[in-house]
Amino acid sequence: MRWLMSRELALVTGARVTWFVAAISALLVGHGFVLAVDLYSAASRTAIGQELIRAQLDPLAGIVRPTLGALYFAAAILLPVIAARGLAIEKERGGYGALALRAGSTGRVVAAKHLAALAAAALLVAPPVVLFAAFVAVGGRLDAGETVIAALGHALDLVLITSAAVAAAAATRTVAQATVLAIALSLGSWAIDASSEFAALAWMGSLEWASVGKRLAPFEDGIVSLGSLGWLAIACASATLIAQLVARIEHARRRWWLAGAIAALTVPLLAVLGHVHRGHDGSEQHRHSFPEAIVDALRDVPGGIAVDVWLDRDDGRRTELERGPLAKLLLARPDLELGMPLDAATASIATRDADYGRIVAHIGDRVRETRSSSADEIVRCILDAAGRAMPRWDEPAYPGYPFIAEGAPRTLLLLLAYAVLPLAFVALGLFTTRSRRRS
Amino acid sequence: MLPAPRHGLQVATLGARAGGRAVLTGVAFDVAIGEIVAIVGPNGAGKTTLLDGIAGLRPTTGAVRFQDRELRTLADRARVMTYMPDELVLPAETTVARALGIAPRSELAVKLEVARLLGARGNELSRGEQKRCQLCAALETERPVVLLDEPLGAFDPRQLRSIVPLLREAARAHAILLTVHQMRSAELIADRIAMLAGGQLIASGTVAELRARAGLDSAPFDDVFLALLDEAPP
Repeated sequence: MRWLMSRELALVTGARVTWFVAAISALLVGHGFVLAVDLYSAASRTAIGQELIRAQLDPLAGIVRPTLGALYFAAAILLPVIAARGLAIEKERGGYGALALRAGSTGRVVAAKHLAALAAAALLVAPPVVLFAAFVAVGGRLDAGETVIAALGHALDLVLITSAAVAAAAATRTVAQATVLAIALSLGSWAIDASSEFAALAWMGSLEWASVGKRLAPFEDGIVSLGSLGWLAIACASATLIAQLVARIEHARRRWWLAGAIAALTVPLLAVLGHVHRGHDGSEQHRHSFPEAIVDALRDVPGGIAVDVWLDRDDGRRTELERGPLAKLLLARPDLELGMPLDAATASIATRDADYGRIVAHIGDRVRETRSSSADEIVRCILDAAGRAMPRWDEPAYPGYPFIAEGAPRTLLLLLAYAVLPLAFVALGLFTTRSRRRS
Repeated sequence: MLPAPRHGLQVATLGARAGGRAVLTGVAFDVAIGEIVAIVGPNGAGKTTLLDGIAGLRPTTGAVRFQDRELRTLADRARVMTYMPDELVLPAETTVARALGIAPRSELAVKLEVARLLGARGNELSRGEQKRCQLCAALETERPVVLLDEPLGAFDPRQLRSIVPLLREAARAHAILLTVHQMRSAELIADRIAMLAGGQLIASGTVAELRARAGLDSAPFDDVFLALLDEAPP
């Protein structure tokens, strides 16, 4: 097994495409980072002497999220190419069966190739880590805890893409087939994410539980969401199991039935986990949760709470609500029933005109409503419906961390993002794939 | 059916189908430890399919046994077999030694004249050099059954002569089953020859037995092969 593992790692590191993908990914991540730093610097200039604007300068949202967003993009379109290649090319070169015989089983071969693909995926994590370290080194500020949580979510995304790509390679015969299938699987989630932006894709809204982007959103806010964590872990495990099964040479039909059964079991499990909102807020000052007194008051409300939001999915207010007050509400009360009545195709235009903008809280048969999208107003509405008094809204003000990158620090970050990191991968690629003279 | 001098690999009524038609039917023979058996036959006779089936790399009917114990799964086979496929292309990403797991100071590599190739990458070798390296990896195994698909196609006549004693030496501890396209090679190397045509075993025996059966004692072995092929039912 040690020989097999060292062989597979050598095949991954000896392939030019691995380093090419790592270099392109570094460039994309670097570009995302530089844009984020410039925008953050511009916003920071306007914040000088203005406390309210200063408080909005959140490095997690302003630096970490856009940089990891670039990694998400790069991983979705590029990682499948290298993750699927190891197993797919073994099949294409005609050595898979003999290798399985030599290793003792197809399971060992697939496991070794999977681990090697994960090692290749780890290369993609290096650029954001280095860029965040450089940002701190030139005077920027990142909270370690919330940055690690955000990075953890994206690391799990890389594991999922890798596992799905290996499964795609196990199910196909050539590199081209495996790559196309792996990219299709990887991009499938994007269509669901796009449905939240376009009313025309509203019919896909019911598949929101299947969106990887939605699962990563809490991590990007510094929240360790148990639902998202479980969702990503189950999806990875399922893809790994399917890869192991369909890669088997024996039991040609039975393996497909078994793989189908695993997929069929996974889907409802993911659907359930997609609606689990329990989690831990690891953000600095727990700023993505309500103040403790408010959380306690909401948790003390007996029975179920239901909130209906009468806003269209492409309304900016709804996006802000979902990312802000509603996310905090779900963290305080994971059992909250959140309804979006306008997502139902049956809602008529006339109904929309009359009800549009309402946020309605139901507790038992008591109903309260507001048209304000502010957090305290929504909480007040819920507590009022529950017959509870609103506790004092007492939360420490987020100080905000303005940072202006200009002059030498900016040049250093630019050099690192656009030259040093991509060229380092190119150089490593040239070194490891260089031709050796015959001994 | 070939007689079984000693227990080794036993292939019993092996059958296989591809695209709805039978490509192997009732193939049965034994290969004892210490013996080299060559499978010969025209193109499309089912030689590679037979080796794939024995190795468990494609679905078959019938049974494959080693020392009277049936090998049902790939894991069962992996304990006793090693397989050198014909169509394998060595990777360009790493050295031949690492890709094939050949020890850096392999004595066999020296004898097969491939030691100097072990540090090269697959794409730096000719097809013939690749084949010789693969043969080295296959023969280095400690597993008792060695399956070789067209291992001799890459050898020139001088190399072919030099490899015979090496294969003989390897066969002392192994049961070697190989497919061969050149009748001269089969005659030179094999203890026994099994002739396959249309997925069926049409003749088998030692070189002398096959010559006697064809009634061609001194003719080139190609003529023996063609005569036996003509005798076979369509």
